[in-house]
Amino acid sequence: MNSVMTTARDLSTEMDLYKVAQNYIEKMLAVDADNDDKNIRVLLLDENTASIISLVSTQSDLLKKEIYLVDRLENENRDKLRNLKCICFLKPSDLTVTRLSQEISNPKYSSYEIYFNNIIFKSRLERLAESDDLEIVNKVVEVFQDYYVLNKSLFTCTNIMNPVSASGIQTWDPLSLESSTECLTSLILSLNMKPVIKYESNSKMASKLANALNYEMTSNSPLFEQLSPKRDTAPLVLIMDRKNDPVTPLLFPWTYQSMINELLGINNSNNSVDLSYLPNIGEELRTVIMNETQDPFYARSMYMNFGDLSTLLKQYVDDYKVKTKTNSNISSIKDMKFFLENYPEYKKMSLNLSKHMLLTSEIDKQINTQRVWETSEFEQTMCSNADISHHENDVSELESFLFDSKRPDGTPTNPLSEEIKLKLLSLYALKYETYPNNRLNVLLKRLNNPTFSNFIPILLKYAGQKSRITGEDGGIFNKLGGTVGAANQVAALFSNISGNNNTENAFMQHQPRIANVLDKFIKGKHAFNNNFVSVGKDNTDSKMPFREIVVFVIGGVCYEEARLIEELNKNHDGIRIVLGGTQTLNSKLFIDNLREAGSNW
Amino acid sequence: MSKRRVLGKSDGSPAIPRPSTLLPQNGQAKPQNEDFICPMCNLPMKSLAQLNHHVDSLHLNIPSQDTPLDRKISKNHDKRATSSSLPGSTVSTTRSGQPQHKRVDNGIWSKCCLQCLNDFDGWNGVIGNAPLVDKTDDFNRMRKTKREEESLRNLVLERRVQKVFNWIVETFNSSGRFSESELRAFENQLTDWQDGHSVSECPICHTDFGFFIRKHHCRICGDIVCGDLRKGCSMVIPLGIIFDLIKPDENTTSKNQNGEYEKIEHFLKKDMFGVRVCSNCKRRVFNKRVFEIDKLKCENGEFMRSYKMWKMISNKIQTENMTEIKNDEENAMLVSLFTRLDKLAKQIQNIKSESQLSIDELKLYNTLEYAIVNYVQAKLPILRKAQEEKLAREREVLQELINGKPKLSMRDLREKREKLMVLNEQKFVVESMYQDFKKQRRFDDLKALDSNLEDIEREIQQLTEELGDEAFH
Repeated sequence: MNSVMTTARDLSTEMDLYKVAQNYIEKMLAVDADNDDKNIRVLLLDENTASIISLVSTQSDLLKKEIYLVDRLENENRDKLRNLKCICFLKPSDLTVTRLSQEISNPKYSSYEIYFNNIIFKSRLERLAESDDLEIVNKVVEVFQDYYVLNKSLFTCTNIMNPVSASGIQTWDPLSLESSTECLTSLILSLNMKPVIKYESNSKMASKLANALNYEMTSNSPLFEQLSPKRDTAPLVLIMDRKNDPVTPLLFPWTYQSMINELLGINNSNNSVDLSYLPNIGEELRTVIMNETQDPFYARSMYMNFGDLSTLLKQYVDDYKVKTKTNSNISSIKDMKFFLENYPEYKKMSLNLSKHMLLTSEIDKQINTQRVWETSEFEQTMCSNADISHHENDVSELESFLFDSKRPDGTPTNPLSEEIKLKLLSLYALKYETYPNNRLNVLLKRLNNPTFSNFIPILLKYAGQKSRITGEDGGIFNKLGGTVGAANQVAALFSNISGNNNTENAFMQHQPRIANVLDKFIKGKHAFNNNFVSVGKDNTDSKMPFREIVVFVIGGVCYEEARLIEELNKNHDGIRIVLGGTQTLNSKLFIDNLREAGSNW
Repeated sequence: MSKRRVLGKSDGSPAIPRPSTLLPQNGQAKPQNEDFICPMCNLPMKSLAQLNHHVDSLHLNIPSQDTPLDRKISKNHDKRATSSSLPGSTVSTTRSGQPQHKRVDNGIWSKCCLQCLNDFDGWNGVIGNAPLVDKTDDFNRMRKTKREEESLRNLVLERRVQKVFNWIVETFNSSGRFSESELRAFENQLTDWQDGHSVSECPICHTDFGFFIRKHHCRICGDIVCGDLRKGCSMVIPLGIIFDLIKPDENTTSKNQNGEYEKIEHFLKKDMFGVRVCSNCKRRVFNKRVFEIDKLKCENGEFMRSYKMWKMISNKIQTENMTEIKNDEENAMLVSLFTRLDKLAKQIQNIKSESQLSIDELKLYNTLEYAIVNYVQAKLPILRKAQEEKLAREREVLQELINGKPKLSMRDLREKREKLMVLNEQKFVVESMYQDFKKQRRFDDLKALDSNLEDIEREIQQLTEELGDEAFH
């Protein structure tokens, strides 16, 4: 029976965004096998598409497709190379179309194939046609990839500066709304979807985005009707708002990818981590790319917790040692030959190994200096239940962190940074917001620091009890495999299926709210729920579970949530979920975004 | 016993209160009914009935990986088939529990079991095949409408430029030269000039005319434009350039004609006459010509030659059978192809260091070099095999040559000759004995002599071979 399962999996029924991207690249850069010596080409990109391509492909991948030069349309210092054909992959924005019109009226290359990464307006296409005096444009095609692919099932928008608008609470910055709409439109098209759209009813921003997406779908309905092959049931686009779960981005995450993002920061536009600030760092390790398709070790370890990661890394080191040992004592010519032939492989492996060693040692260093072992445990115990009876314990522990008190045995502690204190205080403020005897104001007064007294009110305004969804759907202090109440039994079950059975982890007790929400939709228990409303007409069977879901979180997603989705996909056959957001968050970014925008509210 | 993982940290962090109701504490209290543990979520159950109820109510909608597939299918299908009026497929569960699929091609696939769902095109075919929309036809239509509007005007302009060309050829042919005033007189009557009074600003850059920004007439279309050199609204284009662009392609004209044109070009280069042309006319009339000429020039440029060479060699290597190398000739060919690639890479390095390259050209050469070096590196094992095989063959040949001509020392030679003589004598003795015995009918002894004779003959044979020509001296 097991073999049936594996063959079913091999049919590739996953919703793998890398595969979608590869598919587009194959189509755009197809080489003409008959005219092999005429295939040499230039690839012209713009600011947006350069990142989109670099996230899913490498230069040597492109070279295999006979791309000898990659350049940016914005670059005005490009040479005239009128022997080369040009393939353009561009965003159909006003500015880009203007630039492209200038380009083709005075062409630098011999002919042009133009691929837009989203739907192009007719007026813009006309403008382009008018400037093609020389009739050098051979092809104009729309493909749909106006989003960043970060993991197999994680995507974000391409240009969002701050997903929380400064112009007012719960209002969209127009550019961000446009970008989010474009992102989602192209995503569902690239997945062949004509979905049902649902959003969290308490969020104005979610409602606005849902309606904008619906508008795109109706105004391009012929396109959506043409999609084939057809599904027989509609997938779901679920638009959520970060404000309904402010806890997850504030908690310290303990899995590899999440930790890299939390402590070192992963750049959305190229999946890179900047390590150049480290002393004595080699040229090749100044910026490292975290891409699961290009790094097998990372693909295996990205969702592992710190303990499992160290075990795997140790294995990797041993593996490497065994392999290098065989060629450290090169005695015969045969050994030497073997070494030489495999040398590039060794070099790659050693570089990869030092990359992960560097990352983990840096993570380990920061965890120790920032006393994350202690703070995380406190965070987790406080936030993995909605029980407020432990207030006194929690507040005294919080105090010891905030005021750097000595340990019980009298040894002094390493003082915590302001950032971490703010994080801890924020979590406390959220947890005990409605508790009548909470000591928030006392603490703020005692701290007497504008950083704290300015931010906490902003946070509570944005994501306090009154701003969040209430009731069962709103719970943010959940325990993995939670215990209390009938409502939580579902969650308990859910996490037991998705998580590792029989294991419990003191540092990973909290379960993000998104898990409970998705559980409902997967099981078809979302019916008659006022917290999630549909836009447009909803013909779906209300008791029907959804098999395909695109989740989009306004305000940003956490890698920890991405891990959860990946686990869901892996553990449930016949379920496909992709997760996206305006950007990816770590605690610092979440706080900074909010502080920056909220100062004007 | 349940494992408790604390993220690789061994020294104690205070224990977190854990749910004691559901999971057993570290080995202390084992569940009493070990037999009834839900296979999907590991919850202990008090009785089989409870387990059944639990599975039915909670695990039915999501097939979990831990569930045996057969049960999942049968349960799902049975339930769907009876309770829903739109089954995608039905399953009859035989007594052995083995499900048998009966596909029904109408219904809701997503309600089906996994096996059916994975066969459904609308499920497994929707992801890998990302859609695209070809707008080329729309684009071509738009371009055509626009071109039609312009084509008539362009034709007129085109004809006027042709007139300039013809005039140059005719005047030059008749008098061998012409003066500037003659040219001015000609260009003034090429077309009607726009009346300057009504025009207050340059139609291209929209700058007001004044003392510094003067009005100029484009000689081709007759419109008034400014003459600002920085903006390039109009400029005086040397006749030599115009002539060069308009003249027919060298291959289509006779040798005589070409010589004629060369003379004219020479003359035009000496006298820097020019004609004022506005940027619109320049674009409409000359752009395409310049573009085509450029294209041709680049097509045969140095870089393209290197690129084509690289493609040719790599294709040739590709067509050779790489997995097994058959004979010397093919081996030698392969090795020489790689040598050529190596040479090409060196050549590129030379070009890079010696010629003045623009940034993009340098990038192109870099990529090409990278491609070649990578290719050679990847194919290195095959090349080495070919080389080795070639060497091995050579060694073999050498060995054969050495073995073929054994060089014997004088002493060896003498010894062997003596031995041969002795053997020959022995042979003679044995043969005469043989004849004697035959006459005497001693057949038993004959047999022994026979084998003796054979031995001697074999040894003689060997020695004569070893000695070769030296045997009888």
